[in-house]
Amino acid sequence: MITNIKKWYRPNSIEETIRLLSETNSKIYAGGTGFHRYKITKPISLIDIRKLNLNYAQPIEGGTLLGSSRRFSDIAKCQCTDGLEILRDAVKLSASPSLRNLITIGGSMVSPPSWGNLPTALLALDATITIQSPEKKTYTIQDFIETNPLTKESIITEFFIPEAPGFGKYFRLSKTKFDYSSLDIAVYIKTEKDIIQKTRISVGNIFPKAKRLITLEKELTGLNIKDDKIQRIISDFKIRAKIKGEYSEKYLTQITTVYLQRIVKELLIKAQY
Amino acid sequence: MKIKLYINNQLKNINIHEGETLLETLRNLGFTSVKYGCGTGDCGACIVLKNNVPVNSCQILTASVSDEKITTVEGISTINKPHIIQIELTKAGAIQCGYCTPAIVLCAYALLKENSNPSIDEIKGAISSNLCRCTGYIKIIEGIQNAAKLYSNLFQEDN
Repeated sequence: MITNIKKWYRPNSIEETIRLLSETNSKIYAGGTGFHRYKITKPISLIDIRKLNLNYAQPIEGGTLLGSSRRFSDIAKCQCTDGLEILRDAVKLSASPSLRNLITIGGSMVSPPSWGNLPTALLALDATITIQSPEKKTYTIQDFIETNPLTKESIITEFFIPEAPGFGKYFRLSKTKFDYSSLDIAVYIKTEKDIIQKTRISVGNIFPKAKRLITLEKELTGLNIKDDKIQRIISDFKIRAKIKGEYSEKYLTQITTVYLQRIVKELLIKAQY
Repeated sequence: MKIKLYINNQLKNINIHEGETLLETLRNLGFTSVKYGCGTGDCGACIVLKNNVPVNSCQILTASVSDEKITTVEGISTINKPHIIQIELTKAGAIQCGYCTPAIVLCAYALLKENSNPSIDEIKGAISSNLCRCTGYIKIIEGIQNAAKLYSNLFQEDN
């Protein structure tokens, strides 16, 4: 029991939610799993956002909108065979099935430690995130991660996942199946006539914040998928793990390069057939 | 605070503390099949069904599930009339200390309602939220397989 929770609000609209956030000492409660990891030391109220109906997945031109209350278990049901596999596999590899029935995509981006896999996956998919507080603003995931625009009065309302007609793979390294990631990598590659047209590579959990490897992406883009240079370019690319976790920085640095080589190789083989 | 909950298909009007977990509420109401294990969502002993899907009740504040449908093992069986999954788990020797069993029964129940002919991998996936330190899982999987084979129509009848 968390004795410092004193009151619940159940707003019917986003506007009402923002008003409650600004006028009361309250927090949003969605899936709740991140919430139980905090110590609530002062009395607070909670805002139940079920009535906001933010659990949708809506295809629109150029991609899909996901409401911030969309649960991991629903996202994991995606029948995709293209680059969206990155997002599907990232959520499938997060936590246990019963927790995935609770964890929401919005909550996972708010609660540190995030269930871990989303930032890296969303970076590789070039997703955007919409926040209301009270004005509505949309950020690239990169900007969201870098600047953390969330304030006490803001709520994440929506994600936009662009179409990803190429190939994608998400990989994570963890000590046990449902543990937090020690390293995760997401790679999206689109080819046309054997030429790499677009590359997005993101790496997380070995740095304080997940990030895109833009320089490496540029070096790979434009190459023929059978070019022998590809593996060498990845091998020569300087990645330096900067986080102290369950593995040494040296090990994480080396293993990141190895897995990047393997993932790119696998995707380029897929692209040939 | 006062809320309404549908527990095992019965409407309950209950008084709860604002910060009470669903695990605490259910145990306070006498549904002692719901077990406290780790309190962090890792062991799965506290799993119940919320709107027919397995969730960790230790990770849910009861106020956040007001008006929703909760199912515990007491809702699918009695001492005198155990569910077929319980019978088959017993026959397979899948129950030793029994602490994890109610949650495993519910996870299997939710699986078989969706898919009455699951593969071994699907069974493993369905119970992957549950830690059992006694049996090693082989017998649990066998018990669920047997339940599925024998009574594939049972769950349609339940509905």
